[in-house]
Amino acid sequence: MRYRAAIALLAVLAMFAAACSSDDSGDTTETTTAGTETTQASETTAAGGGEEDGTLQVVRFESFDGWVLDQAAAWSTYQSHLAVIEPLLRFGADGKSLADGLAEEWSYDPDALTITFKLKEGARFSSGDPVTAEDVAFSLDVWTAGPNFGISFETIVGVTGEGSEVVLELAYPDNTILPLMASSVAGIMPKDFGGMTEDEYYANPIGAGPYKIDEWSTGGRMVFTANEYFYDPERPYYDTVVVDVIADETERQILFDGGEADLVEYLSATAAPRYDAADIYQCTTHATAHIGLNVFNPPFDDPEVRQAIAYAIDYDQVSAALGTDYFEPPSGIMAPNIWNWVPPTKPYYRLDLAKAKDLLAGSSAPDGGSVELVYDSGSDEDTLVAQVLQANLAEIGFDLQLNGLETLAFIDAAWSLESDIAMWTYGAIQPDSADPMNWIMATGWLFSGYEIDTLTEQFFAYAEAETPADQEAVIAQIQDDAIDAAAAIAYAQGSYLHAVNPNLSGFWSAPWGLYYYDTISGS
Amino acid sequence: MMLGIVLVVFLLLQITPGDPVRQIVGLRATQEQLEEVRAEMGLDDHVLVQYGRYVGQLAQGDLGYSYKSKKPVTSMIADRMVVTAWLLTAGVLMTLLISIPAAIAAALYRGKAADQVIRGAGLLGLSMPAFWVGVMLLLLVALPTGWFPPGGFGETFGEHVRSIFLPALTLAIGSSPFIIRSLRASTISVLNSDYVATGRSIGGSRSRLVRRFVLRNAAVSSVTVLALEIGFLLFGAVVIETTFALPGLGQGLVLAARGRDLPAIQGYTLLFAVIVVAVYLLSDIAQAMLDPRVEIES
Repeated sequence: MRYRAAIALLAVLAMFAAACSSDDSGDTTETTTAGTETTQASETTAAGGGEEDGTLQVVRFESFDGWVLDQAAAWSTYQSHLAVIEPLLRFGADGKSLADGLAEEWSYDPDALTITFKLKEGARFSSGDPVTAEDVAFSLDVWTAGPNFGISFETIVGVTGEGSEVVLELAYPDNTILPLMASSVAGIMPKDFGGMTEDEYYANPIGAGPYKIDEWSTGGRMVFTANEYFYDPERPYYDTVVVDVIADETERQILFDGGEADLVEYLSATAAPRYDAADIYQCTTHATAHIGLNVFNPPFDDPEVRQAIAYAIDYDQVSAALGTDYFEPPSGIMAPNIWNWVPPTKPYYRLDLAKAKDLLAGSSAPDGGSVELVYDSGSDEDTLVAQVLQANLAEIGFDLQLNGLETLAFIDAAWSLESDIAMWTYGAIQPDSADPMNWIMATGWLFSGYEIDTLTEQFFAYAEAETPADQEAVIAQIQDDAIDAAAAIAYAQGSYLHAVNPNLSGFWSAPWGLYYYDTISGS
Repeated sequence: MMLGIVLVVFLLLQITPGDPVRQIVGLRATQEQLEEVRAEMGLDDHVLVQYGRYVGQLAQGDLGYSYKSKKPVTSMIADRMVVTAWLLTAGVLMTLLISIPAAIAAALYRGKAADQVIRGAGLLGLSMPAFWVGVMLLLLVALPTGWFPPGGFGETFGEHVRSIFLPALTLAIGSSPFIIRSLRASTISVLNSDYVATGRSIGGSRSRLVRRFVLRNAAVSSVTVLALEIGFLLFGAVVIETTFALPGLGQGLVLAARGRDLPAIQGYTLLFAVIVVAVYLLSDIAQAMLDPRVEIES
């Protein structure tokens, strides 16, 4: 009996020792070394040695929304879609340019009402089938049917093409279509879902992107493996990308510091100081943090009260709370550093308590009052700023009742205008200012309930403008209107942040934080 | 009982703020589009109608489809069950490996230094929350030594063993004090019984008496405590799996709750309830096997 127990103990110890000495990886393929200089690869982090097993390990906090392109809401979802379901175009690192995707050439003819793409010769789905105009036409039907982004594609009334040429026919001149083709919501899917039912396709989608899906779930691990039919034989450099959703901030940092993760996506500004500054990739200023004042109810149905609030905010203090390395006082309500963005023609609000008190004295709420601010309690940044705003607005007699809500409850409250003030931060998902305009309209002027008829007209004027200067004039007008209305007030603008292993090269991110896995290499 | 649990979960989710349809359709959708989808999915039906429909599906073994992933909930559960099974099994084994020797030592050396140390350590284990213990083990053990991965479940058997070690240890640190306390008390009681005294008087060695008589009789009450602990371990797994990024049922439940994925939440909760009931049933059977005085009546 004694011997049997001893043998069993030894067996357990041996098993554990074997486990401890086992190889770390299931994949030992070497990565392709970097050497190809592309436009995108020009903005890289420091070069060095990377993973030897060809696996890029990414961690993020957001769960995945699934593969229905139109239903993407989280950054993590856009990011994953880009890896698998490649659009015709890509965005450039500067946030203002387009780059080749499945199409190698493109041209817009506003007179002929067409956009013409020339598909790359090697553009193939991961099934091996070539990408054709029929696939684009089918994809367009799917995009247009979407309740979220469908309306953005409605100008396209037909798709024709022969060979490698694809022609989008427009109902009227529309400048917004071309940049839209670089967003993940315009990913190209195979005609008739590649012979699958819709449900089957979304359970196991195929695209013509650099990766195909090996494993996925909405809240756990996603594993992407290289698409052998990808149009660029040099890329992707990593054979495998593993993405884990790690809800806990500390855990994400531990994984990164311990070398277990190569990339931590979308760090909050409050978490960034915990990382080595050299590991932080700071995108160009773009994120626009704002509050929406509910114009349907007193006291914010009075524009003077809203303007008083705007003058009472200490923008420098807010930026300091968020970290001046990453945030600064806002230039306007439109997210900056993308195509056709221009600042307002007049100065944006800055702290001016005397002016705030003057405005308030002549308003319908001369003594201020008690108002409720709802925010996402899951965001450390929002929680911090809410407290700063509470102190700021107390200076003019407003008692700000802070109501931090769990994310979905907050979304409900913000969209249904249940509270007096709602707080949010937004950014674009493609290089054109049309995207923020769409978002501002979709959110009922960023959760204020302010009328969007004028903005809708401005959107069409922007879409049909003949020159970039005309488009910029529209944006400037929107910026100015936002100052006058003071229905949605930007309180800070800053950078999206990623923690990136300095041994990676080829990493770059657009101002809105999205990037491409396939440009990253470990050398 | 199961129907009651299903009803409570169902009703709780109905009153929880956050519109699942907004999650399904997307942030840019209009109110009209939301209402359209709500009607399509029957989510605008009376709550009792929805409940009846759900129970009807349940009776056919259909837990529905996840709102988010569009996958069957049963397959999501199946994917994650293996990880949680590993965690619970390893957690229980480690709990026993720690508890049994410690409880016996504490009982045999009652009132002495060993007893005081074991009871003090138990108190310490009780007072440390699992998420904190987990993070400390990551910082002080996983990272400096590199023996254990700080997250994930790995691919191979060896990686599974390494991945599960620290999470299981975290569970064991939290649950061992209960078992030690219970087993120590019952061991002391049995050591003071007449038949043990008789055994001693006829020359039986202490170790032989403990192994053959004391432990078996003392274990009866601890089996019930262990069954209760498994229930707690299961819910502890929700925290542990999140801390150690283990893709198990606990993590699945947390993510489903965050996304208001109602079919998934209901599926996970129901499974948790089934496991707890099953474990209690098994503990009754184990008690009957250990103690002939206990009978299970149908």
